[in-house]
Amino acid sequence: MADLDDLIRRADPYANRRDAPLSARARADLRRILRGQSTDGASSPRQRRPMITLATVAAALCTLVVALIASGVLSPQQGVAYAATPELLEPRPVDIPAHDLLLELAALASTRPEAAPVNIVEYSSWSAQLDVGPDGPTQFIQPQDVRTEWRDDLSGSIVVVAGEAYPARGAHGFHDSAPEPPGTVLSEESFLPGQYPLLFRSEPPTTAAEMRSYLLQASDVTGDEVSAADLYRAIQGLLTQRLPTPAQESSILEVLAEQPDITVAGDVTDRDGRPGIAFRASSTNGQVELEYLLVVSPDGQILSLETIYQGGDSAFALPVPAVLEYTIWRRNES
Amino acid sequence: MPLRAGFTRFYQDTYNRVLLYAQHRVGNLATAEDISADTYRIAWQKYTEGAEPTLTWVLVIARNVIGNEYRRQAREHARIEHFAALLDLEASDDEAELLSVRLAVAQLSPSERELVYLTYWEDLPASTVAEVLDCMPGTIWVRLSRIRTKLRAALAPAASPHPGDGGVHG
Repeated sequence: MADLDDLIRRADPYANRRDAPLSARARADLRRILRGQSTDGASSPRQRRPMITLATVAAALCTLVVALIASGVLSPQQGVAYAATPELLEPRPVDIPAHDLLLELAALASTRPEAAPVNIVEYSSWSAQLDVGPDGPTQFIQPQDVRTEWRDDLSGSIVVVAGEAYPARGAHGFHDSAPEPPGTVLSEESFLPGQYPLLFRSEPPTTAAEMRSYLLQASDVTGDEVSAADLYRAIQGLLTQRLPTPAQESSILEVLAEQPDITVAGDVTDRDGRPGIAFRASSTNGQVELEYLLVVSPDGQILSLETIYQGGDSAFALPVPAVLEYTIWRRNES
Repeated sequence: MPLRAGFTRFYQDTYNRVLLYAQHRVGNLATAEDISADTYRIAWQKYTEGAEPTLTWVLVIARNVIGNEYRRQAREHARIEHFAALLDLEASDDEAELLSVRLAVAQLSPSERELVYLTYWEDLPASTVAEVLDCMPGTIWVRLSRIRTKLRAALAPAASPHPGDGGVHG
């Protein structure tokens, strides 16, 4: 039996079309687009794929449809119910430019005792469950405590356990039996040598110029197109797999200091009760408006990062504003 | 005409990826072609206004097109046809195994299926998946870890032993 990842990939019903030459429809659409003409596919008769090709599959499909109707997946559209989200952080405004403050924090980070790189990272992660089930949204927030570890041969592990649940924003409590008991193992994966999904393969640099390129290597954003959100996303990906040394963390903060679209949100207490300074960035993909808060400790440690939904996509079952996800890093050093 | 030539090249390089993205979500090929056409029409407009074309960028456009134009349509028949399309097998040596996987994927939540499509069936790296879904790469890995656990449980009689599988590319 092939490994699970390979099996899932091979189950793609359209895998054999990835490398197909452009169809006649595709070529015709391109011509129309470049001429500013309508691309309605009236000239191409719509072809419906055969519903079933195997007699046994027909029976399985009936079973699946019944199961999905019973589970609510195929039920008629229900009224929108907001997904559970935590309280928003409340930064207290600080009248210092982000550039100056980040450089100051970078300098403080560099004064911390140097340490060897660590490939064991522990953090708490939560993201909004936007698939609201037939019983409505949960009334609690239950983050997941994650421990990732990898070795030089790229073997490793990712363990996800249930964290301590707490009431959602606007909730007045919840049934004790509703969330998973804290410490319940939700998933535990081991990776053979060479299989750990490392986003950043090489050791992080310690200069700002090199760090900027390093952070962006995993994305397809280049040059002047780089936004603060792009950098925040890269930093989150890096810090969920590597614990930076003080020098590396200092260079990360120096990179952020030169990013013009970062502003200071203010002093804040993060979700683990630690004091910090929140730095704000925003992004939009033309539909969804998002805000990000990166919280840095007074001695230049990146403590947490969260994404706040600010509106724009009516399919999001969230009020505006609402926390969409957060990551809280926990380190043994303080 | 460098502008048209550049867009044509981009179209040729990315069209199948966008078409697959659409087809995984709507099932019907003709509908997926319509979505792709709308996507590239928008992309061409933005390209002429100076946007830098990337795969992530055009997938986000496709995602918005699908959301805008198809979210409010009656989905019952579309969903049933979509799930039927998932089960419609091309010739394969291990049909039963793949059928089990497709059934298991079909029973994931919509957001979990989205993650499976982007990561495994559209073969996108975590950074791109995160950008398309407006979330963080670390969140992607945690979600994928839990999805794989669910799928292992669903495929338990035929799944490979737990230690030793895994290994999604970065």
